[in-house]
Amino acid sequence: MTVLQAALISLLCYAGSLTAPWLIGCAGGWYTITRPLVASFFIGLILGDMKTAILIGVAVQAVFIGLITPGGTVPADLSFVSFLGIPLAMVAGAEPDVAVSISVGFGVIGVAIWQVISVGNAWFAHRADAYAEDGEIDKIISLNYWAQIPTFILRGVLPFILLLAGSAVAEGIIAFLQNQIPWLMTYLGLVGGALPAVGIAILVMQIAPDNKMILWLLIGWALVAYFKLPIVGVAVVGALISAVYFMFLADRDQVTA
Amino acid sequence: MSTETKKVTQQDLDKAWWNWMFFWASAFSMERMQSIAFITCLSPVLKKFYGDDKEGMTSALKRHMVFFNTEPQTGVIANGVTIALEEQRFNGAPIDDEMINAVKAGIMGPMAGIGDSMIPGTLIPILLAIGMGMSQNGSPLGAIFYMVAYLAIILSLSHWLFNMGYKYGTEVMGELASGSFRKVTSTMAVLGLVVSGGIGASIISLRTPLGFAQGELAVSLQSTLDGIFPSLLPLILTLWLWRGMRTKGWPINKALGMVFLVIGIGYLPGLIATLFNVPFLEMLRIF
Repeated sequence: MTVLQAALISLLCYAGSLTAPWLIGCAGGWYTITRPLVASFFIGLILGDMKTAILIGVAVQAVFIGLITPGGTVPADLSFVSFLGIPLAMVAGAEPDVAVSISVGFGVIGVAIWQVISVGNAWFAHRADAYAEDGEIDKIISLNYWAQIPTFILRGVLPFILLLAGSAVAEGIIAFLQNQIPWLMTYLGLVGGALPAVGIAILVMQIAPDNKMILWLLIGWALVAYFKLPIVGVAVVGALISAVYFMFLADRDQVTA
Repeated sequence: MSTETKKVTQQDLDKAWWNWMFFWASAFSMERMQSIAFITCLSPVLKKFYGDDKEGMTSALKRHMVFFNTEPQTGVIANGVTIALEEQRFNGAPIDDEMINAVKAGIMGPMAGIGDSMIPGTLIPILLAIGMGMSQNGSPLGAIFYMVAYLAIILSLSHWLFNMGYKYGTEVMGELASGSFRKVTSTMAVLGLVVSGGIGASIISLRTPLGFAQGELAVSLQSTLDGIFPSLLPLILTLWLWRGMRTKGWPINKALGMVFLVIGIGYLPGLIATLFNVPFLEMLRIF
């Protein structure tokens, strides 16, 4: 990875982080370019290997498909998953399933960074309190920009260093593992294939108000397991089912709930 | 206090909405969440009302420096309602700080829950799953599809909700508490769950090499399972993780760790077989 490539990727890491405003806030950032699927597209452009990047991006995305960040608690840090995990797995020449396990590791590290930012930013809130006393609205607005300094250091500069250092050794590490301890790679690959179950479990937990709603999940599951329906088809059937639910069942649910 | 009335224009509203969309998390902190962003959002309106009234500005800023947190893209309805209240207050309506704060809190809570289950809980997974399907062969089309579709949907939805909030003001509160609104959210949950099931069945890969062979006869457990209920193992794993998170409150890292552990246990016989060269153990690999 060249210095320019690392710089571009870490710039995306910063621009797509939750606390950066530049891409219409989270609409274009956290919820768009930081999704592993979209991140892999840009990483593919930067590193010049679209196909490998996208294949890894799709596999990693599966784990984090249902990631919700309620009340500012980030359960896994997608900024590092997408912009450290994917490019480093790529330059290391890791298979997509192994790349998933690697990315999950970076996600765990990234949570600590998020905690530093979201706790440390209280300093700006206290500045804002002082400005509010004086009626200085423009100074409060300027805090949005000042608060970019810690975010840029932790989401831009730090990833840049990690990318340069990591890409120098990543290939050697993966090659060593593949030759010396191939069973570990098999194991990491198996784990990578099963990890998306966590993503689905989180999703279900967040949207199912009670246990009997699991039946709806099983219907969707059966549609794919038995009929091999593509996701667009599942979405259409799901829309029809929810229309039936809305007209005939939802009222009854309200009474019992 | 001046007696002239001032109106909020559509231009002010659009400016406020963009301010919010760009800066809602820029100075986000655990302590006060989105309060600086809330003031940034309201700034075009506050400047119009209190631009030359330092005392009024100070009290407005202090009023909005309190904790505020919601799902940013749909909860923006609270910002619209607040602007309507601020306008009525400036023009003489008897609205005090407590009322404005009660209304903000009354909307931000429900919208955080509904917004989270609607946007990252349903819309994003559906669009991602479609995109992943398009990109399965390594084509960038799925990623491009997601970017275009998500931005188009979320920006128009969010802008509409914000304007609705301003237009209907506190009437929104009644709607949020009404039965028909709960009906809509549980219907969204049904759609989300059906699609989640479909996504789960298509993306989780977990197979077992277990089976037995005797002479000519070889039975593979996986192909037997495939004949009864394909992707049964991924389903069991998913429901087990869901149960752990729901009833035992596993955090996500524990759930991730559990996958490493379960696969490790299932792979252990195969591992011992490889390391110590006892081939028959390889047959006891569960995964």
